[in-house]
Amino acid sequence: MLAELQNVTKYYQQPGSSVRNQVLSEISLQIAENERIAIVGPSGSGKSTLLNILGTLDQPSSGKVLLNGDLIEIMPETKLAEIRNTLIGFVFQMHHLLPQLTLFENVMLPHLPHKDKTKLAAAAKERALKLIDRVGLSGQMHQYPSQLSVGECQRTAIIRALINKPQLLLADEPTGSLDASNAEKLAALLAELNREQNVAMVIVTHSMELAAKMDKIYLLREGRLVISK
Amino acid sequence: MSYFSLVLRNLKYYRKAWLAILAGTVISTAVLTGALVVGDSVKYSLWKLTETRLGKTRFAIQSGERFFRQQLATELAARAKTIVVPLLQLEGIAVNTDRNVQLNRVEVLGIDERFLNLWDSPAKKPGNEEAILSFNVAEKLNLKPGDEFILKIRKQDKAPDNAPFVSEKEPLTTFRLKVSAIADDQKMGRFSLKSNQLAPFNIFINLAALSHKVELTGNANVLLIADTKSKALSVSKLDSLLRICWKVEDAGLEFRNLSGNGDYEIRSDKIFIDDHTVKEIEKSIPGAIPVLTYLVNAISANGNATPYSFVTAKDSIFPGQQLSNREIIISDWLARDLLVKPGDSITLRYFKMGFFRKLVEDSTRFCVKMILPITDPLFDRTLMPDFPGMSDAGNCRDWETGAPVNLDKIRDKDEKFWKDYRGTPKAFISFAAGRQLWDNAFGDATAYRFSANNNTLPVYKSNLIDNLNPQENGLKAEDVYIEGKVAAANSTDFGGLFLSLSFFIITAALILLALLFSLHAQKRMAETAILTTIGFRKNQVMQILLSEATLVVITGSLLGTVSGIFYNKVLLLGLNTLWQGAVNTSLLQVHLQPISLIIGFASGSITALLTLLVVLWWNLRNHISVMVKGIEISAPAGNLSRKRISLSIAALFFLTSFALILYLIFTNHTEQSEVFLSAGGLILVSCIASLYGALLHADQKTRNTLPGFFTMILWNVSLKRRRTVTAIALLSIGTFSVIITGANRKTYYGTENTRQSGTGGFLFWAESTVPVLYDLNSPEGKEKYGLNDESALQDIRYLQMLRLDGNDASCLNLNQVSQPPILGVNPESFDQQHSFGFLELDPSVNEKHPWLSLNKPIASGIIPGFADQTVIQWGLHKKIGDTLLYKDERGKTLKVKLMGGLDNSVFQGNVLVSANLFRHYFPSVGGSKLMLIDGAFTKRSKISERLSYLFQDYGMTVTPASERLAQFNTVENTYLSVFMLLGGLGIILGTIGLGIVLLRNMAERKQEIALYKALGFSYSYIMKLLFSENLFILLTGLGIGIIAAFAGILPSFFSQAFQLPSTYLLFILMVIFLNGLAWIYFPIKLSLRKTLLQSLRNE
Repeated sequence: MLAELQNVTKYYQQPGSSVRNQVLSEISLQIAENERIAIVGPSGSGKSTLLNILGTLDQPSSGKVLLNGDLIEIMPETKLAEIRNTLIGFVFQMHHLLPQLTLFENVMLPHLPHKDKTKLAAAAKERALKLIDRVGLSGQMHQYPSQLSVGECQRTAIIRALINKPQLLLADEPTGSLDASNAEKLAALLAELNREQNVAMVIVTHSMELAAKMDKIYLLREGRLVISK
Repeated sequence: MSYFSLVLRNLKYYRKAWLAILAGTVISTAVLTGALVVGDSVKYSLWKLTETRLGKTRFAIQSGERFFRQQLATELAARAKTIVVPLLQLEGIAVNTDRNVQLNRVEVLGIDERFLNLWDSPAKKPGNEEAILSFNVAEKLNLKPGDEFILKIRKQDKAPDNAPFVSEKEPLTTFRLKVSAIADDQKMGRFSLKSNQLAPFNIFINLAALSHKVELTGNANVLLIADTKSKALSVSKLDSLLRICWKVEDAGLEFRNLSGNGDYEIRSDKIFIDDHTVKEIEKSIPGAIPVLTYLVNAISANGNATPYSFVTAKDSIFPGQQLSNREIIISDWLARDLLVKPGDSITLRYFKMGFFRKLVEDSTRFCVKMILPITDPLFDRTLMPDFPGMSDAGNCRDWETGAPVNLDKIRDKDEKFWKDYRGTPKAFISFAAGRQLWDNAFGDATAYRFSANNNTLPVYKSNLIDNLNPQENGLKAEDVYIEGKVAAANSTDFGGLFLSLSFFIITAALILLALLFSLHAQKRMAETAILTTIGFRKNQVMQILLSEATLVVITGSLLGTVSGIFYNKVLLLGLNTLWQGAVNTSLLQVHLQPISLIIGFASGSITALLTLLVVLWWNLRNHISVMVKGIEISAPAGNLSRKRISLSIAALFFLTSFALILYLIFTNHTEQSEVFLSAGGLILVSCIASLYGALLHADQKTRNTLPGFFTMILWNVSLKRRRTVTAIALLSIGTFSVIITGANRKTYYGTENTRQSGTGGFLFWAESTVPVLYDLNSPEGKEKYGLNDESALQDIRYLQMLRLDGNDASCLNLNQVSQPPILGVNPESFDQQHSFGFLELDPSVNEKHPWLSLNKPIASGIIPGFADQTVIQWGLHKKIGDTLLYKDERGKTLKVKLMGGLDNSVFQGNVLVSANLFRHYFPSVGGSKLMLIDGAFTKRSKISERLSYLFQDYGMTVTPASERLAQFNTVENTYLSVFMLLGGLGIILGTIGLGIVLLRNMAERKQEIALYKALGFSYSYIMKLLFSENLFILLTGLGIGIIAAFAGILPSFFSQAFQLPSTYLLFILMVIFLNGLAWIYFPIKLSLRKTLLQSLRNE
């Protein structure tokens, strides 16, 4: 199993306060290789928190998170950073491209902290060029984010997430900032990339169109996860 | 792409933000470096000044009022193989009669051509009736080459002023001189052996002419020694050479052949031979007999009296016979006059000389042992000492004795005796009896007599000169060059001083830096988060940001170091001109020490980097998920806890401060200004903490109603409360500092002085060029100086002091000195009046009567002393209980133990000891050149005018005591002015911070502003709202600073002497306020210029 959540609970509590704000409750989820999962739910239901826990950005209050069978709670921050760098790719609602870097440089950015960056530099560059070409942005390769459209930026953000050949792509409302046409194109692209890059996907979305393209759809409501497809 | 290229890209992209941070670093580093370079420059300038004032002089021998042969210079030069220059250095008064300008206490230097060899470009040697003036003398007297002026110098007798029967000399000998040249600093004009940056008032005249005029032909009192090429000379080497070269004449002794038959006598040009020399004579010349010849007022018996006769105390009058203590041998002339015979009693009446020439008459009875004819060889006229004013008098009525002579008592036969026998003693007593009767501080013998032949005489002379020590006769070599360099090297630390004066501007620059970087880091929070999500470790993200910061900070520090040099130039320009009051010179020049530049650069870099590191750590402390979301989940409950902490701190600090102030007021401890200042500081922190708490409260308050205008202001400022509080803190601390500094400026003019104040309640401080020998409070003194004839001077009291010259240790001298002048004061007078206040006393000193402790010697050669606490601490770098080392008049070590530190007083720069103990160690200092004068404040102008007139020939300068104190305060006030200026610049940086906060807030609130517009709020309403929010910050910052500062200066309001410089403070506050208004108004105006469409489109 690529990733697994076992009875994950998450709550927030302030020091000195007895009030707990429970966000996730006893959630279990398994993600197989190449699997595509959509998580839908109302605002504030804890979708992003779930994604953050899965992406090692946050720790559960209780329960376990396993990636490739390894328990993440015992891993040091260095190992977690390495996992985020090599095993997981992130895409957010906003593209979060660095404005000071060109499209190509933004795509290459995750290669910078890679532990084998010197050895794999040529390969990474080749992969970046291929991916840029794949999403149809070769002509804009040396342009800055401010010179690109929102859709182009979001496509760049997706290939940035794929540059280190991750096994799991986590996307938080990836089409949230796009118009319907661009959202449709991006949804299609994600589906294609899933196949081409052999990458599993967990997408948090409000868009039922996008969710429908996934293998499984989970509904997150009041902190509990229910499968609906 | 590498890390480095990413860093460079980031720097380029965020260049505006980084440029602002760079500017902050440049400012803080420039101020740091500038301060350090000022320190180096001042030290270097003083160091250079040592060379300027000494020329090629390396060593000096100064004997003060003891004079030696000029020939000694030639002899020493031959042995030392270098230039040795004799000088006659005296004090004088210069007058330009054409312009009616008088300059007191000028240094008159008798020089010959050898002196000119010490300078690279000397002036031409002055002729007999010529003088070279230093630049400042020429300027003061308005003289130019070719002009004539009057120089008045006191005639010098080698006999001490207050030795018995030494006549009081005419105060001054006057001569007219023509100015031959004006000597600037490079042409010996600044010559001085004192480590002081103040230019001396020098007048150089021909050595031969000067020594002749003041009756010291062939004598000098200073030797200047240049170093040899091999630099082989040292103090000890010179002292050894001096022992070889010097002669008995240099010790003021003279061998006289009395009769040509082998009878010799040793005399001293000081009349009395001191104890030390007596011992050496007895050791060196076997059989030498001491002789003490004294003038008695009357010898009486059987109702008859013989006036004014000499009596000699001498042993071995007849071989094997010794007079007892009460036996006397008289001449037949006296026996006839008194009608006495052997076995009769006769009485000797005589004066003993007290302080300030106070004469006390005493008498002793003797039994006549023997009557010898006046023609007996025993009655030898050469036994009379060479009393100036007597020895050369034609008759008794012409005597100038320094003691009152009743001319009515002098009979014709007395005149005949004088004519026939001159000062031949009329009677003899034993030496022991004479010593008992006429013992005085100057010595017990007027001569030593011995027999010698051609073989033994040279041996005796040689023995004596070998046994006498030049050092004990004031001839001691000093390495004035090294002393000058050491004094310069240890001078006032202007580097440290300017660092502390620049504290606020540096702090302001660093806070500004922190604010700018914090805003920048917040702006890049999303970037930080995204880097983390794609696998950058937190420390890698930090490294990227820190690398950018390091490059900026290092560039900024480099630029700051260079700017610091220019900043230093501005500071030195200020010190040489506007702030000259702090340094008393205009000769400061820039000097760059690589180490200071490196320290400035390193300190600037490190402080800036540490600031940025803290800010970065603070901004990156949140968990990644929080950064990704860009929200703070924990806000409400955390704020509650912070509110409690803030309000608790505010309450605690306020109550502590309030309690402190009440305690100090009700226990009459209002003089403890430091505690009030701390209380003010606590109030400042309390106000800021309570404001933070209030802003948190405003943020949390349940809002059920529509907000009013002022509520909206409060809500809005509470949204970004950290920025708000930072800006307010910056403004309030600045305002606090400026008011505290401004209010602490010391003003004494026009205020009543209490006894406890720094003036001791005295009206005037008077200094004269010529010593005043009599007690001005005594009838004799009043009569002598004509004080009885002046109605304005009837109820005046004079507190005369004795002074041993030394290096000024006041704040007016930047050099560190080790031997400040010693003042002999009357402790009883100060004790009775409870004059002057003390900051610190040795535990052994009686706190109720501290002054009286000065009377008790601590041990042999150790006496207690007081000095201003500031002098002890800063001028001497000592503390209470430490000792200062001096050489007394006999060349023995005298230790002055510092037992008390005076509060800022007119004595600054001097060490005070008891006059009685002073006289014991320095008996030759007979007159007073310094006095404090007590009188009615209402008559002060008249008193000053009459005293200046009466003592015009004494070169007396009468200065109001408050003015003297104000001179010292000028230094402190100048420092405060610098601090206020730098503090003001700091506040301007603070207001820039306010402007930056505002600009950032405006950028973040553009949608909010667009919404206001969209909702139909008028332009003026939005303008008013935004302006009021920021005006709130400005006014709160100023308000808190003002409230806290007034608590801090509360004790000053209890002082009558306190005058709040309200105009100056109002001006500064107005500048801060207007500057703040500008920083509020223009960003708002700029931001509101954007159209609604632009704003909404951006959204």
